[in-house]
Amino acid sequence: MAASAAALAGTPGWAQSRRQRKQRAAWPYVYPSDFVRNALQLHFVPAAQAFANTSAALRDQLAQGCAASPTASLASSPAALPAALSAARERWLAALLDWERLAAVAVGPLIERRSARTVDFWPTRPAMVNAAVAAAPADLVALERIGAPAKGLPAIEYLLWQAQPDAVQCSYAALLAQECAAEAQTILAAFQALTQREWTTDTALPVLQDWIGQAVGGLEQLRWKKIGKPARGGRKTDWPRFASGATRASWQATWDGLENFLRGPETDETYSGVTGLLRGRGDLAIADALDAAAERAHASVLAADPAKPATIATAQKAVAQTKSVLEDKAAAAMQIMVGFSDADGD
Amino acid sequence: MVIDMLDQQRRTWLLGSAVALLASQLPAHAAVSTHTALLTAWVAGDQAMAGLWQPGHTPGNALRGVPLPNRAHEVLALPGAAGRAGQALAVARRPGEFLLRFDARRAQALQWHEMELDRFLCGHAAFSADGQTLYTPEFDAESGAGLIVERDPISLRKRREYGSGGIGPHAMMVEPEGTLLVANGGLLILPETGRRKLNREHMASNLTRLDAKTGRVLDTWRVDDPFLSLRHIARAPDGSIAVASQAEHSDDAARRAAPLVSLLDDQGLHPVTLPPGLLLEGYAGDIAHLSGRGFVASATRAGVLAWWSEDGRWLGQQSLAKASAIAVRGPQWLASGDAGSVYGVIGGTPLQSRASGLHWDNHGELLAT
Repeated sequence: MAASAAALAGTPGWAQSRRQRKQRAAWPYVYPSDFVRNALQLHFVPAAQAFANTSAALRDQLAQGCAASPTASLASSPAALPAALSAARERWLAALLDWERLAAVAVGPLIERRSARTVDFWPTRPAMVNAAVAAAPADLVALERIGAPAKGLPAIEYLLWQAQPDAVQCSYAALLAQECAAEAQTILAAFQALTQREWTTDTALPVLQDWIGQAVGGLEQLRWKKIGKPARGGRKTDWPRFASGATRASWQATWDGLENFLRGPETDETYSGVTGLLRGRGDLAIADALDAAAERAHASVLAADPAKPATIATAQKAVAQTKSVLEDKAAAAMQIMVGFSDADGD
Repeated sequence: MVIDMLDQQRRTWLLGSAVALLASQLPAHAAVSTHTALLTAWVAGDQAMAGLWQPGHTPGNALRGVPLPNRAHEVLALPGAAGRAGQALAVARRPGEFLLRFDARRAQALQWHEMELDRFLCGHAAFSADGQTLYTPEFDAESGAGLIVERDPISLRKRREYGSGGIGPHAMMVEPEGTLLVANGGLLILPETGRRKLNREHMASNLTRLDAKTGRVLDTWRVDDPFLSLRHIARAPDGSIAVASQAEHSDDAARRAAPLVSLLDDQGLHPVTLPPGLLLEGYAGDIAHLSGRGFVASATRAGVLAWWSEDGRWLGQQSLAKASAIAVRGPQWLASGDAGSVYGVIGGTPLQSRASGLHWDNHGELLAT
């Protein structure tokens, strides 16, 4: 994502890494309208574009089927995967990771459309997926009658990581991939439409505030729903993306999306994230604290491994600290009421 | 002795801010001989907890709790029955994802319950009078509809569910007649947007009475002001009912001046009248009834405990920074406030205590130990 964002922006020669950027003495004030416009152009639209591309590739791959032909399965060794299945798994992983990056900070059309219910209903509900396969919906219209728990990328994962998905399972997976790709296109179009708006301080400020609140929520989702809760459950199958073995990659992609929003792309300072916004306001100490917390979270999420409990605890803590800085210091300094706040009553 | 103390206290309440002065002059941890403990939730550092605090002791030294994955809101004692003594239930805050039954005396988790598909807790719960049914206000993540869910009080498993009579159900009460009284806050939230209020312009709060046997709506009451979100309920022994609200007016002045407490009578649900100049700042965290004293609501943002008689007469106020939980047991009561402070009367003795780095949650229950 960072690479595609840089490409979109033309990779300016003066690009500095996040670490180098922090050393600058003077920071321009970032108007809310600039923050929103740049976040759209350099974070959300590239992320939505990437997901639209990879989900379309998954759709096209699964349109060719994923089951082994009877002759092929007899001829090959039991361990060998049919080429179509192997390719579908690869496409699925690419789409999943692009979704994680995009949905890490769930804003705009992702919320208005409740896209996560269509694309990423998790934990996976195998019984409901099996029932949906048995119902064999013929097309997207028929698929509308199937409930969200039996759909989306987790359901496709469940089907593709069967030892040998049959033709009916592959057919259902193909339909789900069509739906994901269509949703991805709609999301992309909606984010692109947002970039065309004339943003003013009045229209951008509430959006900026909302997005920062959603980033707090995204950090909490990563800390608890994706890492802490499965760790407490103690069952291997509780880890996100367990069937595909993509748990670690999934965490890292989610973090990548969060970090990109918080700190801007690694090599393009046109959008310098929430830290740039804070520095422009003169909240240098808070910006530094957010940078430092994000650095620790970056390292610890990269190292987090379900097989090593200590790394899991460290990652949870580091993500929690990042959330705490964003919520208690950054949002408070900007007088933002956070929807995921731990600080309010009820 | 107790009566004298209470009479004196009552007179002192009516002096309003003079009480705050009295409180500030009390020793930091007044000597209290007590067999009473506060069952509540709190956050210490980054860690959410639920458990017991022994009043009269420095909170940091006399807190025994179970670590929680996220903040709890209400913590309730299980109704007394063989094998349940000392057990309590912690309810996750909206949009809540866990229930925990725990041994409060030993600070030991007994039964975790993760929420069912597409269901989220609203932070509160209530037990039937016989203790055989646990009721939890919840919402459907697909539709946002409010629900009352009946659960086994030990396994915490769901038995059945029915509509709460509105959206955003919050606190509820099992009435002596066995009917259920539910404060439907009227505000739509969804898990993907946390606690963000998605329908402020069209919110529809009400107080609903449900038949616990059939789930049928028996009565619904609304206040005239559509921007009052009804949240917490208190009942006096004579059957008077008071409801505490949060104000959601976009107009700042209207929000700050909103009365926040309404009383239910034969004519309906009516906001009380505030004395001139009093601003409760739009947020009541809790409400309780103290026998012989009336209803007391915690106006958190105003830093005030505000008192009314059962028929809505203004009785007075006390300053308590960020007042939130109010726990009552007979003549004993405690209110929690900012930065770990508590204030109240235990064993006939005024009590004031503070523990830095500790944040009490919005609700508590006083237990005999």
